[in-house]
Amino acid sequence: MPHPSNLTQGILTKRIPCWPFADPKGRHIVGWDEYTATGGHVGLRKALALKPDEVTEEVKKSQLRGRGGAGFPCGLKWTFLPKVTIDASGKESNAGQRYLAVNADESEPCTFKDRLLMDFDPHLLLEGIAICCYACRIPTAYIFIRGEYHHQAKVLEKALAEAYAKGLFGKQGLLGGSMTGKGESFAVDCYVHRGAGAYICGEETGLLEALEGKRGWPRIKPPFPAIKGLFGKPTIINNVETLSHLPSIIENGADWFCKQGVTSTIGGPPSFGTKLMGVSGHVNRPGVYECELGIPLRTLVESKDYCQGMRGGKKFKGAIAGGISMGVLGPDQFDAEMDFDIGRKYNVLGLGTACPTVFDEDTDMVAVARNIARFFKHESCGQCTPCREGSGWLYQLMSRIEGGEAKTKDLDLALEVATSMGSMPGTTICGLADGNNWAIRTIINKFRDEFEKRVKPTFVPVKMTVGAGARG
Amino acid sequence: MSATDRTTATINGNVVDVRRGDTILAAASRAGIEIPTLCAGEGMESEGGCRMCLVEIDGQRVQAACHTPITPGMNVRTATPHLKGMRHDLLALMLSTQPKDACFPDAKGTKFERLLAEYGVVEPTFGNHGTHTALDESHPYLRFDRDKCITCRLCLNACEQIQGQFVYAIEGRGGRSRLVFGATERFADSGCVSCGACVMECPTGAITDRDRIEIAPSRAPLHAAGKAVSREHVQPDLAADSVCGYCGVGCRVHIEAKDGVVLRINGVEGAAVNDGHLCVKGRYAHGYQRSSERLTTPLLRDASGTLRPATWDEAINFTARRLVELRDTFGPDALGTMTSSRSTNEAAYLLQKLFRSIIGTNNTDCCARICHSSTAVALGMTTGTGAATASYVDLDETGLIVLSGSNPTEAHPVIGARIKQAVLRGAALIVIDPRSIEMAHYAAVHLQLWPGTNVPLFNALAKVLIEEDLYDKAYVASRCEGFEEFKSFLAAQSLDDLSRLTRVPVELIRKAAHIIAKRGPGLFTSGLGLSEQTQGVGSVMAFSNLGLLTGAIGKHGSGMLPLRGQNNVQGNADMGSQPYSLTGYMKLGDPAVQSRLESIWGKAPPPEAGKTIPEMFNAAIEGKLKAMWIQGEDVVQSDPNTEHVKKALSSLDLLIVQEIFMTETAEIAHVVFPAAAVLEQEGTFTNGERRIQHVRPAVPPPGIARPDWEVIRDVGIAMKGLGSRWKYDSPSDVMDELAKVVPHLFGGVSYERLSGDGLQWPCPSPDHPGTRTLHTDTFVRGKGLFMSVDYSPPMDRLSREFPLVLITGRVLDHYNVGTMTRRTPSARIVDRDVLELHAEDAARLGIADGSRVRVKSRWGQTIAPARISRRVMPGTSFLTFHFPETGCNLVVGPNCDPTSKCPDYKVVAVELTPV
Ligand SMILES: Cc1cc2nc3c(=O)[nH]c(=O)nc-3n(C[C@H](O)[C@H](O)[C@H](O)COP(=O)(O)O)c2cc1C
Ligand code: SF4
Ligand code: SF4
Ligand code: SF4
Ligand code: FES
Repeated sequence: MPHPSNLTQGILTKRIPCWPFADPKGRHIVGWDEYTATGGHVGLRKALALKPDEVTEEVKKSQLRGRGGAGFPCGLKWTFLPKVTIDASGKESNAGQRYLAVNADESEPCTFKDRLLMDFDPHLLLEGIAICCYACRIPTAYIFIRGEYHHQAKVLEKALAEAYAKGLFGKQGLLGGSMTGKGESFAVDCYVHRGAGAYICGEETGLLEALEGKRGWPRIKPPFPAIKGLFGKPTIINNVETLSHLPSIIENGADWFCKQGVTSTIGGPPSFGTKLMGVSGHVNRPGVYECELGIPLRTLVESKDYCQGMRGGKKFKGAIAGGISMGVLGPDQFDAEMDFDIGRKYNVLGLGTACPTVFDEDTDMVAVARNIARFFKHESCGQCTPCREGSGWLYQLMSRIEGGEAKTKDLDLALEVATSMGSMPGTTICGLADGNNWAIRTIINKFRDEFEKRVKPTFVPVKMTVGAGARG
Repeated sequence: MSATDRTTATINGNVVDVRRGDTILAAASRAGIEIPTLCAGEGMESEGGCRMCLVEIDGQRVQAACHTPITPGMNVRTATPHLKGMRHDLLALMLSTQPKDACFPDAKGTKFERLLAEYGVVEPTFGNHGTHTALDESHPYLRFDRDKCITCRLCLNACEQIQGQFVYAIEGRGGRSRLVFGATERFADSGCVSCGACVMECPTGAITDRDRIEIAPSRAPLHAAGKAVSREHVQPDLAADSVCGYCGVGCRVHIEAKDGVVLRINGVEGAAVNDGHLCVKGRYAHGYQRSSERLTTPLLRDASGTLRPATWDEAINFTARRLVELRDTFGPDALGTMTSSRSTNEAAYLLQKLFRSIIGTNNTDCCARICHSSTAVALGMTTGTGAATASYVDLDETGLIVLSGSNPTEAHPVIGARIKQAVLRGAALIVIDPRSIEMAHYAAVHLQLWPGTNVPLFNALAKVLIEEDLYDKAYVASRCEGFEEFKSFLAAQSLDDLSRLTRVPVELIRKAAHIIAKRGPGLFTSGLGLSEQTQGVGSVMAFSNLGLLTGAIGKHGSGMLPLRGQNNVQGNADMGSQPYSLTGYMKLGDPAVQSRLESIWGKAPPPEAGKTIPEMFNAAIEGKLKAMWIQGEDVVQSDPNTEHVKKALSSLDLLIVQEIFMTETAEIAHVVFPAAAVLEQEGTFTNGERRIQHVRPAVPPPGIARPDWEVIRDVGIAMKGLGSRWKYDSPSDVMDELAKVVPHLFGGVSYERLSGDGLQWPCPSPDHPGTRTLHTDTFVRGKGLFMSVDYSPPMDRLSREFPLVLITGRVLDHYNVGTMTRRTPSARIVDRDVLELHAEDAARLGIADGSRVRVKSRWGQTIAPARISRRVMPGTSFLTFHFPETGCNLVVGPNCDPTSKCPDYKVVAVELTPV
């Protein structure tokens, strides 16, 4: 399927000079005045003229899917909040305390897309937050930003101070107390909260715990955050990039949004809109590119507009699909389309953050596996047995294989552990174990010969009678 | 539950009920289908960590049964090969983190080991990478073996959700996660209060206690590290459900014994009082039972003045003969008795009956005189019954708890834990106490009043409630009397004056009153801090005014809930161990009562009130009292003004003491009867919520010691006369007689009905279920009575010579004068009495932390080590009374409440000097 690239300028990256639309040298932090002068807050103004539910409806219609990794439809998520009652005269009952938690934790290895937005165009995110808060009747938003994003936190804080000074946030009501479709102004407070450096705090309920000042231990669901989230109140969690899409969706309408991206070729939900794709690895020009969903990985890597080919003209060997939790694409999957169908079509967990890491023919996939296993071992929160113990054990085993000390049967054991750790969500409390499982399992399965070369043969056939491996 | 709440689902082909809010695990267990778990605790929030309980559900991903709600139509499978495979791997992973042999498959072992056996996990498939860590044996009762720990966090949840202590935490992430004791490395240094809740939950034996290890006879060393691990749990040869013999909470216990020795004590799951929970004393402090210092034979003082062993016949006949002689020579009123709040209802009943009928005097008092007499008197006056109007279960339902003069987390730990859970659940707590006790940290408001000023403080609260129109007008109008008088009494006082007296700022008083109004009606919980004051009765009455004003009395979830000190303080009063009213609080001289007693006892007691304990002591010194029978109470140590008591007792012609240890009181007795302890006898106790519960023996008494009631019966019979009619074959016969004596309270009580949680009196007929809440429709006295109580300052005035206030009290790990607990490992946790004082005073007086201080009052002096503490406010100090070496009561004077005669242990003027 040819990619219909009809974009003439970036949408999220409109103000961020970003290849292929402009020269990256012109990048700078966009302040309030520049932001408004370049079409900022048009979407928010339009949103405030609507009723909150109309805004939600528009977002739902756009079929915008979450950009944080799971791809959950954004508008649909908002509708899970408790309903407010609206009387005949259109007056709403008070929705009470609710929260928006903006997921700016971006800790997935190989993922660095939200960072671009926070680096240069913070007001876009703030406008998105304002729209979401209005639509969901949320008076308080927290931006949970990863601890290592020190610079970005400063940029955000400065932008936030500006936004308060200009009356976007604060008790007078959004945009200086503008009248809204609710018949009154609506006030939102927004805060930046810095994480302390744990990957697990990016998981939405781990994030809530961390915001409450506790260990970032993901919560058992149900109850879901939309019902009982931060401090026990209804809470929406959205990714930075997801929220940054809202201003343009409201400004230009859902139909406009649905013209970008692709529909599913396998009968699933569509992948509309553009996506920031942060490409790293063995390519000539790594970086963050805004592309329409559905762009084949090969195009992204080889196009002169994007990565300009494999580094040193080497051969493509494989790629991490979109953040290491998603697993890897094999040598024969270079043509995989970067959209939400990718999981089912190419046997990976999903599109994830759509930030691929590309490996050339010289890459030692065993070392890759070992490195990934090390990450998960280090980042497991320790709550669930399979993840806590399994991740450590997988790392040990990968190290042993890399060191040439393992036997064939260890490979099967590794698959067995990986599988019982989270072949399906549900085996553990959160998705971290799934990520570990998918990463290790897809590497072993797609590059099994490399592993087999590194292990000593076992002469006694391994009998998997009781273990999860019995499933085959 | 309405019919629409329920439909059905299928688990392994069995149709099960779906109840709203149930997890798959709960539904399965109701249907008798077992799903393996390693981190789910009964009644605790789901943890969801071990993932052993994963199940398959049609059309869904695998789910953890312990936290996935069951929904109608669900089709669940719990034991497919796939699931079994996953569980096998999980167990193998857990085993793989342990050093060799820390745990291994064992069908008779711990829960974890049983699962290893069931799933055939013999060796750690994933390699043995656990490293051995040293055993933590620092704690006197508990032990932690990190090698066995699977980080399931059941202990942590038990500690938080049952005890509310928050001892544990998890440190580190992923495979490095490990259980820690807060910030401390050693168990002993943690905030642990040794309740044992975590031990009961731990599925691996990593946290365990000495009662589960040390007594085990076979301790086979298992691996090279040389760790001794008992593989076999010692199986008890006798087990009994009984009642804890320490405090007035009255927890139900399950005692396991072997060869006449207590092996371990567990709480009874589902018990109304404690639902399986216990405190350090109830669970662990049973070592005194097999102490070598126990009295094993009767002792008689011989001609040379020394106590020598005697046979029971000798001792009983001597006692009976002397009692008859003294009665006939000096008259019945020259004899008196003091029953023990520790003894059973049956023993207390028989002893007062012996004095009231065979001897013919009302000189029958109880050691409760020195603790809760004020509460009983005050509530008797304001409501008509001198007992708690509410029950413990109300703590779980209430939205407000007002706690005054009670330190429940130390004195009544199981209730303390229940109050904490109530507060964690969202109930508002107001603490009114001169000390910053643990519960003060959980309080919405802590009114830290000057000692002895409870009356003006309660009046101030009442004043705000009335003046700001925040009281329950309908209730006051229809159910109470004396309100107008009370209102004008308060109108005449100024809030500023009251605030100045109590040293509590007006704003804080207002804030508390507003919370009381907004969150009530609530529970008004008090303790000895209220009753052991010169104005003890007044304080409790002023407290009960608040209960009346807010319409709290007579409803579920609210009311007056005083916490009784000793296990059977309530029962002793119920049995008639007070000189001014009879068994069941019946009036002296009431003709109907007289005639009933005459028909049952053979003789009615005299109509005049007898002497209280302090009066008996005075009479003894004056030579008017010749004989005393003291049951299980070391009055020399526990009563105020030690020298005075010693003098009184030594003036007697006959002192009979029933004891389990050779106490200071027993040492001056003429007759010492060795008594069976709680764990060794049958009878009943009545707890602070009027619950009569069955006490059953688990071990035999040492030597030829016997239960109190039997000895009293035999002395009664040996006294001939009315005693010849005494025919009781068992304590149950005594209870049957009691039912006849006081039909309106106990008519329906019999041993057959006391299985399980017993009965809360009043229980007037055999088909009556007992009474949870008193005064529901009308007050027992008709209407609730407002009492206008004016402040009178404590009798022990501060002066230039004695400028500081001393408060006395107890700590968690010991019980009363420590007769029992000092003979257990609790002595290792707290090994001395300490004097707490504020840093300001310490600096002024030149007292360093840990240095020795002379505590001197108008009445006596003692020396104790100092601890500089923020729990007390400047100008006040606090001393415990658990160790005889300190003789804390040497310092407490003879001041007492003029009505109840309850001594003032809480406000003593002292001088502190460094030594
Ligand atoms: C282990 C783990 C880590 C995650 N880390 C992030 C993250 O760093 N940033 C993010 O936006 N979402 C992260 N997610 C996804 C969030 O849980 C959640 O799905 C997302 O924030 C929802 O926002 P969206 O719907 O706008 O995508 C993580 C999920 C898991 C399981
Ligand atoms: S899967 Fe891993 S990271 Fe997620 S909650 Fe469980 S232990 Fe923690
Ligand atoms: S014994 Fe009680 S207080 Fe101590 S750690 Fe265990 S549960 Fe907590
Ligand atoms: S000590 Fe026992 S209960 Fe606590 S985490 Fe370890 S295994 Fe679980
Ligand atoms: S019992 Fe369900 S996860 Fe442990």
